[in-house]
Amino acid sequence: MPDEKRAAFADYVRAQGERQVRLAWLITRNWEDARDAVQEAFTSLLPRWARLPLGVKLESYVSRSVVNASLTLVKRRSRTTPVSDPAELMGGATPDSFDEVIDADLLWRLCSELSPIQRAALALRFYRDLTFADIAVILGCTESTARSHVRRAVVALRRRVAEEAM
Amino acid sequence: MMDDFEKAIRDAFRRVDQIPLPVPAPDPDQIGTPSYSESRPRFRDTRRWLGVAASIVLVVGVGVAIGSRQYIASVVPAVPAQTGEPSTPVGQEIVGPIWQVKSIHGVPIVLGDERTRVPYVQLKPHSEMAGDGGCNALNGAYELVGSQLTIVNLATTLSLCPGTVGEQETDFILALSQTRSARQTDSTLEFLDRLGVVVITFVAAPPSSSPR
Repeated sequence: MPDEKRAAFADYVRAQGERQVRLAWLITRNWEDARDAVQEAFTSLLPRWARLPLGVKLESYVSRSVVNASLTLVKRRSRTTPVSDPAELMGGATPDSFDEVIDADLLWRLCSELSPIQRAALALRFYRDLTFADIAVILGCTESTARSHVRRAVVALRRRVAEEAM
Repeated sequence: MMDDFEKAIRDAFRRVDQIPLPVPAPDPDQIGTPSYSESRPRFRDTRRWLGVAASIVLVVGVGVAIGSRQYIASVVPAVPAQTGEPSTPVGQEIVGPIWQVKSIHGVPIVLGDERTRVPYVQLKPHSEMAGDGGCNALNGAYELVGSQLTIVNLATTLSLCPGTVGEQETDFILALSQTRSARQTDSTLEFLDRLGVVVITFVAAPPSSSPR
């Protein structure tokens, strides 16, 4: 690969790496797995980097690899992953605004009960703010299926939050 | 439009941006073509060089011995290793299935803890190759013309892979880069180096296996 292409790839990894790890973590709920998933995605991207067609939606392309690798890791490990609590990781500093609407920690914990594909759909919708069409491309499904994943996940969360409140 | 509940989900998810990454961010220098996949592989240690030197002495010695008996008048072609099963040249049928490694240089593979996997390769359409070395994912390209097979542009993740499994993975990647042809028996796929020696033996993965 020419040096300038390799340099562009390195710049892309530096710019996007952390963001992609966070996306992978929302699916795997395990930082090591998240990093592995992103490493795999970038590794598969490298041989193709020099011949990516112009105008390719690079972020969708990489996100798709990251999501697929994350789902594969979750499936392969088939282990119950302890849910990392963001409040705990932040040293207990929970922004007050979340408490006003709904218990964000509870929501966060309940997300772990969703299927990995539903977590992926929610992450793409609410963390990445993607359209259902973009989510469908990344998940490799139809737009209606992507919409269905998100809707079912939200419904399941609503029900569980209501149950917890009783 | 998002309702309040969906906004709460969005806010909860975005809290992840406030968490300092507890793992190192991906390093572009850690993602790349390993040196051992270059067209002229570098050998890892002196033992390998001694092995090569011994092989050269053996081949030259055999050649001289045969030549002196006038059995042949020119170059002696390399004789592929025998497997005991009739072998056939490969074709496009090796493209698609997942081939799990059975042995490397005749040594059966070993498996480590639950984080390691059975090494495999999958030759995909459009000359792309995917696989796993046991600890690290592999990607690359291949050229298949008749039974002539070469694997190029190998890239791997670089997760720490200590001990026997790590050495095995290195041997696997080195053997892939040495591959020049392939052949099939009823039950196995074999990759051979330029001397016609079997470097990797594969078996087809069970249908339930799922590659990444």
